Amino acid sequence: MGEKLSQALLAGRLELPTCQRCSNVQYPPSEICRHCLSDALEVTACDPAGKVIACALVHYSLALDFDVNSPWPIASVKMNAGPVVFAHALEFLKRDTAVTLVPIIDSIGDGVFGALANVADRDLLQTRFNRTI
Amino acid sequence: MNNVFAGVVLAAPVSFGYTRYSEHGVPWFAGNALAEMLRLSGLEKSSIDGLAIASFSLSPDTPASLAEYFGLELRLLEALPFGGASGVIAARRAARAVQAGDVEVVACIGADTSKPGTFSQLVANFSTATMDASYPYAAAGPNLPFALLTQSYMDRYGTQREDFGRICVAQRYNANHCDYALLGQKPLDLATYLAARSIVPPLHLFDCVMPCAGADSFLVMREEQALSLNIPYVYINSAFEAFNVFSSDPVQLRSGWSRYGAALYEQADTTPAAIDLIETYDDYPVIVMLQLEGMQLCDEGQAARYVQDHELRFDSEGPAHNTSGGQLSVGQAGAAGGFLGIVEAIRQITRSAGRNQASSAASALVTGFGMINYDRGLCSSAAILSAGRV
Repeated sequence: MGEKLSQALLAGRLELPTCQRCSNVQYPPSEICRHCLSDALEVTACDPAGKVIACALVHYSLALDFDVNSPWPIASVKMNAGPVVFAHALEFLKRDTAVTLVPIIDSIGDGVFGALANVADRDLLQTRFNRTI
Repeated sequence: MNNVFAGVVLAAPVSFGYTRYSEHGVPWFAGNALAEMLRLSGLEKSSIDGLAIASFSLSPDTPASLAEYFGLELRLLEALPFGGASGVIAARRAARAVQAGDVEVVACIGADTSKPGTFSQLVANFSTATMDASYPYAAAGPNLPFALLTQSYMDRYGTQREDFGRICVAQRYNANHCDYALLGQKPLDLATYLAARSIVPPLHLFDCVMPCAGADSFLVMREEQALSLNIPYVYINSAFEAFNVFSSDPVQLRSGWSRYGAALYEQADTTPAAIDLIETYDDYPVIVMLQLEGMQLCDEGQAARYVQDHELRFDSEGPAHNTSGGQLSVGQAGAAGGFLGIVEAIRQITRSAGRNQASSAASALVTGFGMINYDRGLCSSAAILSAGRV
């Protein structure tokens, strides 16, 4: 299920595994619904809006990809759709900041989440990763 | 007292081989800890018929392979993949097995080795959830979810870095008096703590544990057997283990302690104010605060006030806290970090701690927390211990 999610993000689609029986949105990706235990999950489009729970600046990473351009702002976001996701941000985001989740391609070519207060900044956020390739 | 673990005791506390890096494998650490427990207790190896083991770096070997490795014939083999909650869980499950008559003596061991790069490998492959949803976000390992948790705690309660620093500085003082603490030779004051380099702010260098190698262990047996061996021991008055508690909380500012803490005191027929010694799981100082609050040492959100009002040193008035220096100053030997608190509590209560011996240590609260899976730790545990034969 994680692979399908990643493929959707790479294709520029904000989608998450969603239970076809009870509509519960799953994250981290799962093959079984956490709510009703159905295995009828499909990666489908969902509301990309949410609010910041907290934000942290990663100065020290265990991977070389993130040694450049540090610190990397990472936010935890409570999505209106239900789940909490970690997402790359452009800058430190205060608690309760309203954000939109967007698909980003990271420096090793994987699809990941970005969290933007202004969705027009998507290309700017993507540029951070382009510089590290 | 309605002791639900009546007749069962914990004995022979051992902390073995703490070092930053080692070429030795887990069996070497666990085997040496086992040999030292036999020496302390006077038991023959053949008396051990139960083994509870917690380790992250034992793979590709298995707990069963340790039975063969050590030449043990076992009736109970408990694998404990619960990280920082595993020590209390080992004691609880071993005590139940001894009490039921399934086994006579259980060796409970947390052991891990450490080589350059092994911590990064562990973090990169910790779970499918961390691989999918956490590691791609700047590969910060557990520092990321704990930084986010710490920031949420600070936002909600107004806690300052100085408050976390008080915990770290007090623990370093304790470590300065503990022979096996790897950072025990280095002093730490609040100014140095505050000036430390950024890791994942609000986390800075001294908020983070240093990975290392080592083993921590103890024996569980019937009281009659400990008396016949003429060894010191402690009672386990109450204990709980809990998993995935308060899972719908958007951010984890409480865990099993808040759900089951009151019952733990009731079962032990004691109160938070009557506890002499507190050993919390300290992978990060904010988690210490959550345990203090959950276990009713203070109200929710009041841990900063608590650490301002209590010195937290082994030689201070009021309850001593993390008397060995905890993982923040001893080092985090993988799953052995989940045994550090309970082993130190047994040592303190039996008055065999050495220079860091607390003057009042007749009862102890030990708490555990482990397995950060994506944005929260899934395992929590706690136990109350008291003096048996000292």
